[in-house]
Amino acid sequence: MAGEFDASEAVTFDLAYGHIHLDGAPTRVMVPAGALVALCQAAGDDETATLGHAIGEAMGRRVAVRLSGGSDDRRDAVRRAGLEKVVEHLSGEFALLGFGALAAERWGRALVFVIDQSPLGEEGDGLLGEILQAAVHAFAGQHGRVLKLHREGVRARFLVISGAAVEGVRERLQRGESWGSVLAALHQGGLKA
Amino acid sequence: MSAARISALENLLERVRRNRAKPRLRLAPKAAPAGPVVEPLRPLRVARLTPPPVSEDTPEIVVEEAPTSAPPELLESPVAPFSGSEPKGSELEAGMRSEKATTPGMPTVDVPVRRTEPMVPLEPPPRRVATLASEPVARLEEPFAEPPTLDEPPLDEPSLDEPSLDEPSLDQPPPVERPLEQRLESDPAPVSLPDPVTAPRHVVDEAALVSLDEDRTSPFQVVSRAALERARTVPLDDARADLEQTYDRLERTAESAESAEAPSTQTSAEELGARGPVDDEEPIELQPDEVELTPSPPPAPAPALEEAVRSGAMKLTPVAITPMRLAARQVGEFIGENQHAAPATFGDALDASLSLSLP
Repeated sequence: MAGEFDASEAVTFDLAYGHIHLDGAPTRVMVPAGALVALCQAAGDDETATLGHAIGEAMGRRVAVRLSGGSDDRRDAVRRAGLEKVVEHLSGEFALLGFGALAAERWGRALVFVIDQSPLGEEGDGLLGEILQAAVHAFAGQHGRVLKLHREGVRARFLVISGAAVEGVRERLQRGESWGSVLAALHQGGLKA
Repeated sequence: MSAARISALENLLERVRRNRAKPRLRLAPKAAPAGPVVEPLRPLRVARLTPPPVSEDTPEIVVEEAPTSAPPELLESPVAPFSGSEPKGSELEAGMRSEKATTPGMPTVDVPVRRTEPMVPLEPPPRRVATLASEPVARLEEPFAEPPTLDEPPLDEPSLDEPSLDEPSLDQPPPVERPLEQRLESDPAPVSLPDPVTAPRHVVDEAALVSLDEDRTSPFQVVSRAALERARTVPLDDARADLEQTYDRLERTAESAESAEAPSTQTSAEELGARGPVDDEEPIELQPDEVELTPSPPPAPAPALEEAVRSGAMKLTPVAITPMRLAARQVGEFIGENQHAAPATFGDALDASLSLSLP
């Protein structure tokens, strides 16, 4: 059983070599959040998705390794872990990378990730969504989609939804429907076969 | 533990044994030499600094093989601030040398300091003041003296003719608080309570509340006395009679309220509090206008969920928030059959969310 998220010694600053190591992952680079957002905007959506995928996949693997506790089937271990435990470790990873405070909400059957105080701001929501999606893929093996629902101030909500429903949700949101009504509509659609 | 560390510790122990074997004199108050004083002090200062991270590949042997009898000038040199251009070994060596000096010096430092500091009272007796003016100064100036040997009394052991600082003096009785019962029996009542036999019960209660308000210095005493008096002096028959009397009064109040244009639906807290306990043999049915009732809304036909949310008639709340920021009882106005849905596992939550689809 995995314990609580422990951030001690997760980040190592190798001053002699000028490197930053994150929990055994390849070397990291600390860059200003604004510069990262500007870079993503200049690169475009596809490149931003690629960057988010790289970040989120590594993040999800680290969560899976910790939660599995050495078992072979890491994804099954994550699926069997409690929701609180998974979100705790995932939010710890988000905090370590400086992306903000991650939480999760359940609206009916809908699983909604909430990111507070992200330094990337609204312009970085696309990147955050890709990171979340890649992380869920990595540690749960489910190929769902993570779609931005709503941003209110410094709080952004991301809905975990199937690929079949993502376009419909996106259309409703673009039409101006509130995210609450979209959630309600999702519950009226019934269970997907 | 490495062999170098063991040998270093053995050297230090041998040094301590030699020092203890020396004939010693009672230390004069200001006889602490300047040089040796610095030696144990240095590790304490360095130890407060943030120790540099010791990586696995850093050899500790270099650190530990520093001579135990290092000259004072070597120990006095502060740890050089670490710069990025320096090799890793240099900062580690300086830090660890200071650490090593801490271990043998600890007994000599701790013994006088620990025994003197907690013994200083906030208000020492006059006789002890003169002693405090001289003795602690001497001890503070010799905190690094070697520990006392077994054949002589310790420096800070209080003499028999002096009272100990942390013990109460025999001349003055200790300020022990009187027991509560004693205070209840002997203390004068701060306010005059009404006669609990003759006065209506709610008057007794109000008097107790007023006295509690006026005498906030001993609220427990006042409340306890009132409760005791009430328990002792109010028999059950009187209470029942008082209850019936209050009930009649409430009925009259209700009748008068009905005759008025806007009948009051609230009963005053005074009257409600004056009812006292409910008797099993004579159950009291509350009048409808005595209690403020919140009627439960009739089960209206539930509108379509989406329309209700859009029109604002229904407020959405999440089932659960992780980390939990919402109590479970706040859950589920629109959840319906899914109120139970605090899933046990992350897989359940994920599957449930992925199963959603639009109509």
